[in-house]
Amino acid sequence: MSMNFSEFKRFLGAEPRSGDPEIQRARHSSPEFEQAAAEAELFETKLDRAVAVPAPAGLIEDILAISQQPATQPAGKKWLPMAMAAAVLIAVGAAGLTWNMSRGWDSVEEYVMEHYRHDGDKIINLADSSPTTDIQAVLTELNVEASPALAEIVGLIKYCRHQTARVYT
Amino acid sequence: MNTEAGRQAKFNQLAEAYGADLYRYAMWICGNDALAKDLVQETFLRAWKALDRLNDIKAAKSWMITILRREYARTFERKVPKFTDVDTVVVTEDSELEPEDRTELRLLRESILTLAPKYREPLMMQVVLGFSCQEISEALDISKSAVMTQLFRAREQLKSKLQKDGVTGNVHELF
Repeated sequence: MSMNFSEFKRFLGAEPRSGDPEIQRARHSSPEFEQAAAEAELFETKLDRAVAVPAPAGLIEDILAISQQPATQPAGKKWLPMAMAAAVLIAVGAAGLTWNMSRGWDSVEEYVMEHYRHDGDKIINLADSSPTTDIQAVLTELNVEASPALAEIVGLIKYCRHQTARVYT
Repeated sequence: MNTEAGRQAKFNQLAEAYGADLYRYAMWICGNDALAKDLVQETFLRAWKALDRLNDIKAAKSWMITILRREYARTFERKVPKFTDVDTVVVTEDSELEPEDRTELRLLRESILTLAPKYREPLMMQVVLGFSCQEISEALDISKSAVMTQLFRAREQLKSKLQKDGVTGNVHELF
């Protein structure tokens, strides 16, 4: 049984680039079908162009850098970068976030280290660039608090979506 | 064979093949450049750690989308700062386009972002990632016919918005 125009338009709207032989046959069955297919193709070209957001410079390099790090590091080697990320750790540890041991990472330190590795210099360059008042404002927005003494030493707050870094208010 | 080297090569292959597409997909789903980049990093970080579980490289794209969607869902388990900016990312490299086309492109982008997630997500899977209806159905865990309906409605809404905003009519006012 051949496809009616309404079915054809519906199919075009769902899978405009389908190579389905039945669709191809229907397309060539009448000028009306042919025109609908041509309009769908034109719209797809516009859609392709609209979604073609350029990937940020350095994205692939940043991703590749993930694999350059060893899966696990000897305990002794953790201390230097750990010290650099200390402010982040303090913010995570003291601001009311808790850590549930879970998938992939054994501890919050290891998790922070993984982020330090892939964020790398960006964290160091960003740290200490915000006044304490901004830090308090960000923490307030996240419904957590830091004492003035803690806020004073926080160099950077990185928003973490990981479910194991849950906020308890 | 050097297993670590093989693992590295496999990961690099994934990064090169899917890094940019995953970013684009994340960008259109969350509408925020910083979050999109973070989601992609997190996705690859998890993929790197679990790479040994990926037996079939052909399944990689779906596997990574599953990771990314899970990560994005976690964003909403917490209070999240408001995200506002697609314009900062959708930098137009469209200077070669005619003003009329630029206007239409801008309206189309804005319209995509106003689509409900249930329409936007399958549409971006299809257009950005090249997923078939069957692959979308599996990724979203809904029937193929439901996917087709959502894709059809998504396109109809976009076309309707473009017509409603009278792209051609507005062009003369803007330029």
